Amino acid sequence: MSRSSITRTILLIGPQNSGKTSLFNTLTHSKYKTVNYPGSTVECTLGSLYKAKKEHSDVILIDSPGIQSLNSHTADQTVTVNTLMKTDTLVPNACKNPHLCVLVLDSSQLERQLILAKQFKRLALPTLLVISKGDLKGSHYLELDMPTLSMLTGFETCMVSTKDPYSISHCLDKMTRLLGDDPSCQLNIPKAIGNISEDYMWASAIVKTIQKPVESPDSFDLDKWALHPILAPLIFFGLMTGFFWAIFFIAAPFMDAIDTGFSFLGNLISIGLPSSLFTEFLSNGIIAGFGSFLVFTPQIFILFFIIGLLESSGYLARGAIIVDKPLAILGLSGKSFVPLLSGCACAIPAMMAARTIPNKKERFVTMFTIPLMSCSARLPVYGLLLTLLIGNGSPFKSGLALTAIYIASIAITSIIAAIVARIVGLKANQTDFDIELPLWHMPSLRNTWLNAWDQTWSFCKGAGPTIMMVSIGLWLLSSFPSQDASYIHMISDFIEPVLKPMGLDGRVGVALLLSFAAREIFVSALTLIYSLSEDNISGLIDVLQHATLDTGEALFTTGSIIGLILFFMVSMQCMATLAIARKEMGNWKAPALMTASYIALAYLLAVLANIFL
Amino acid sequence: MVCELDKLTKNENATIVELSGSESVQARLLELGLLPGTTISTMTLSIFGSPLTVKCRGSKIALRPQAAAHVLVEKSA
Repeated sequence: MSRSSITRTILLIGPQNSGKTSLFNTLTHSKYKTVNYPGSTVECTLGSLYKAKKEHSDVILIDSPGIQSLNSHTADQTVTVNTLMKTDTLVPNACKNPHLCVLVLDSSQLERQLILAKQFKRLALPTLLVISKGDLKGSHYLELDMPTLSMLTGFETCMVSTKDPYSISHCLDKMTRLLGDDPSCQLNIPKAIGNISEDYMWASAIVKTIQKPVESPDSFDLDKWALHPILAPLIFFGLMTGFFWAIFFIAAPFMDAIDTGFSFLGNLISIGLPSSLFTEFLSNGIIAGFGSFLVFTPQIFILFFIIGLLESSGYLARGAIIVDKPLAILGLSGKSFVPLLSGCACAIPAMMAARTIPNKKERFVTMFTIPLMSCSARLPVYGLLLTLLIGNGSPFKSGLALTAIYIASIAITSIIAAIVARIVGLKANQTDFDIELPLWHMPSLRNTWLNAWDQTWSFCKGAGPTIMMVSIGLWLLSSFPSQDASYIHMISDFIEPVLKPMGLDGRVGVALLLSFAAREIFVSALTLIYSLSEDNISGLIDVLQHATLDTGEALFTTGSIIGLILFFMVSMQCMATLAIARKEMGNWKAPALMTASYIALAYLLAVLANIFL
Repeated sequence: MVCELDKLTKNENATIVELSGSESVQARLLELGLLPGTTISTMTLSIFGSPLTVKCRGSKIALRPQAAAHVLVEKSA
């Protein structure tokens, strides 16, 4: 800041999956998730350039979504080109263009990716060419003649492997040198479009010169199985089934342990403290409320862990090929697969992942249907309802039932996707699909573990305060003016007529109402409402199983429970999803329509289930 | 022998002769690196309209048979 008020910027740019985010993480000491699927970064990320020398701590490093060429056509790639041409809109006080472009290319895909170098030559911006994943060098990949590459491309070059600290500091030195000391802006550079055929021929010629052809050993190619016409779909279904079963089976012992721990804690408080309304609130309200939610964190962790393994291995791109045909019949394509699958974890990153879909209509249909995929916040709700439905004894039955729920939600999503696709004018097989397959990659268990941990932790952190507030609010509302004629009674009496057709009472209605803040609230709210309104409880499940309607009939019957499950499968109940839908769709109309129609459909299904089951 | 890319059988080598189709289709094929003169080899074939996969310029790409039909190739001996 001493010499001028201009902020210097370095833009990391390159094709999808070339290792920009890995390099960014190393240079800035951050830990953004790296994913082995084209288009995992859909927004620019900023960080300050880490360097022992202090004078470079003010340089902003920008990580950008991958681009195949500068003539981009998807929403995520437009982000990159805009950042390149209008850096000042992203970073305050920056120049129109970055001070330095760091073009990151994958050493094993050089012939394909070098065309970007040619396009950058036309832009004439200061550029450093970084060849990444250098650690593959010497295995069955290539020896590269780097000095000749520099000479032929006209760029400074360096080879980088994030596993080799020396290569990082070597590249960092070159970056620092090219960045120089002059912070002043250059003239605005026009976007130059060339002939892509010429670019490819230029790239081919260079690669032939610098790459000593190494006879690659005839290693086994996983794609022989993963793309096999008969085996591939079987492997795909096997993996997906294993995925849903693991959520139940592996998580079961951990869930039992957490459950026991919280019950113990609750008992300890109710025995240890003098009997009062507040003690009851503490043990049955707060402890039970948090316990009933936290008990599902092992499932959420496993969900994120398995998705992480699939992401980093490179399998997702193969999965996209396998489901392309069924999705094409709906009016979508394999490009919708990853956004929809991410919807099983959380709709928010899933909506953002939809930016990688080139076709605008297809992108809209995908975003419209993402909220129908069963996200991780529904797991606690399904868990509770399934325990009510089939008891606690059999994880086998529960696993089967959960798989059935996921299959049903995929079916509902497909039907609605097909309808919405027809409405916006997409017919079957009309979309286009092509994809470059990333190389297979052995997932790092440590990174996947840490990432799943991070996601689970942030899920708890996000829900924690809400659960706390809702618990306190509910306690106040159910204790005043008096316990027998409390505000909760009034609210629940008021909304009871709406719940009647679902076979439920107003108390469940209050919990449902609260679940519109976030779905997982339903579980803790239900715990609190029933533990405060019933005496002599011996566990939530017991209370709920014996809860009755005014008429004396059982509250939770097969019909009303399946109705509730259907309600949660379809209903749009998440404020954060609504906000991101508004942002990604660019207007309020579609998100509002989505919310209204999904709630209406959810209610209808719940009522039908109650009548017919 | 010259034919469309989607007519090739498994593990066949061929050289691209010509692209057809609309300008946007051709532009997309070029962007994938499928330009005349490029040698390719087939990996898996399309069944019931599923995408087929080919090796081209050191990487693997998948595309639908409708798009592959716009790529005219000469089979290698």
